[in-house]
Amino acid sequence: MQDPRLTLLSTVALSLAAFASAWGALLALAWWLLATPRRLPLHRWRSVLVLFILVGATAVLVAFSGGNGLSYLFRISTVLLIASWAYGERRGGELMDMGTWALGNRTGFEMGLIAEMAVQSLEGLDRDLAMLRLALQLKTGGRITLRSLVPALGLLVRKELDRSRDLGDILAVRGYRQGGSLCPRFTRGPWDGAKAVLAVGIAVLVLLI
Amino acid sequence: MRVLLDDVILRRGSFQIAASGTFSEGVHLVTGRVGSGKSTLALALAGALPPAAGQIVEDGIMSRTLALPFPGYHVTGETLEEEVASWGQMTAPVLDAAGLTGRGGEDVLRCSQGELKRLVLSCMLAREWDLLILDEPYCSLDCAWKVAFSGRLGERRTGITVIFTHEDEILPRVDEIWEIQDGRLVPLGRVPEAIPRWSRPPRYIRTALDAGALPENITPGDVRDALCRTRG
Repeated sequence: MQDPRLTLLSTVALSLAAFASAWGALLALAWWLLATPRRLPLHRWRSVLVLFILVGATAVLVAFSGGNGLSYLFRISTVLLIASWAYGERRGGELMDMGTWALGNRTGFEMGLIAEMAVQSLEGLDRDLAMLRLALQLKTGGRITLRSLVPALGLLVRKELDRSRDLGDILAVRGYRQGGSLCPRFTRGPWDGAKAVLAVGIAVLVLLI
Repeated sequence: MRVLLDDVILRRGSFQIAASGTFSEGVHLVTGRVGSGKSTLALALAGALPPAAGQIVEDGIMSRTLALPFPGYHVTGETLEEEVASWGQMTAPVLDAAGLTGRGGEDVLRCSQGELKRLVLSCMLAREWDLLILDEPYCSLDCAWKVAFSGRLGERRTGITVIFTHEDEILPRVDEIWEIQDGRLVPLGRVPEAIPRWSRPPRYIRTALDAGALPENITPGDVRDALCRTRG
C-alpha cells in the first residue's frame, strides 16, 4: 500500500476486527494473505519470539482465569501481524504528511513532527540494541548477564538524551517556535482503495454481528 | 594468518557492496566516503553480517574483536576500573594509556564520549588479537589523541589489524591500503606503491603527491619528510 492514510485506516480497522473476535482475526488474517506481500519479520526472530512468549503467557493466564486462551492468542497474534505489516510499510516523512493533512499546519504539523521524531528514536534504539548485542557477544563470548548490560544501557539512555537535546537545539537555532508549512503529497497504488474498503468492511461486519 | 574475501557480496536493505581480496598479517587501512559501506564491511569481517554471495574464509584466526564507532556499546563495567578488568587487563597501565590516570573508581556514566573512546580503544589495544577491526576509531578523539592512537596502531606487529575510517587529518603507519569505490572494495596494494593509486587520499597526502613527493608511508610525519626531501 502506498498511501499512508489508507494504510493507517486499514490497520485500525483490521486491529479492531481481530481484537473483537476470533472470526474477525480470521478475516483479518485472510486480508493480510490477500492484500500484502506476506512478509513475516523472520529476520527479527528474537523480537518475534519474545512477543510470542509474552502473548502466550498472557493467554495461559486468560485460560486459567476462565477465558478462552487460545482465542486470545490467535486474536493478539493477528493484531501484531497487522501492526508488523504497517510498520514495514512506513516511509520517512509520511507521519508529518498525514498530521498536516489531517489537522493542518499548526497542530497537525506539530503532531507529525513529534511522531516522526519518536519513530526516528525507535529506529535508532533498534540499531543501538543490535550493536550492543554484537559488542557484548564479541567481548564476553555470549555470556551476557543483567549486571553487564546495565552500564551500556545507561550509556544508551544518555546517548538518546544527548540526541534529543541536539535535535531541540537544531530546531531552536533554525527558529522553530510552533507549527510550520508543509504541502503533503500522497501517491496511491492501483489497489490501495479496494484493499482499504475491504479492511473497513471486515471491521464493520465483525463489529455489527 | 589471513582473511580471504572470495567474491563477497554484502547487502543491507537496498545497499550492496562487493569485496574480493586477502587481508594478511599487518595493518590495513580501508577508506571510502561516508556511507560507502565501510561499517558494513567491518561487520562482515567481524562475522556479524553473513555475505549474500561469496564467502569469507579465515585462516588461523583464533581471537577477534571489532571496535564500534560508539564506545558505549562495549562497556560492561560500572566504574573505569571494572571496565578495564572486564577486558582482562591491569588497571593502571590501561588507564595511563587512556589518559585517565587515578580515575579508576569513577562511574563510566560520568565519562565524556572521548574519554570512553580512549578507554575502550586502550583496553582493546592492550592485548593481542589475531583479527582487530576498528570502525572509525578516530571519531570522538581530539587531535592529540588521534596522534597518540595512530602511533600505537602503527606499532602493531602481530595479527591482522583493519582500520575503517574516513579520517582526513591523521593516519597511522600502515602496510596496505584499500579503497571503497562505487560499491566495490578495491585493494590498492602495499605502501608506498599504493599511495599514488589512491583516488581520494587525505588532503595532506594529495598535497605531497601534487608536489611530486612520494611519502614512505601515510602518517603526517612521513608526508612532511617526503616534502622536505623533494624541496631539498
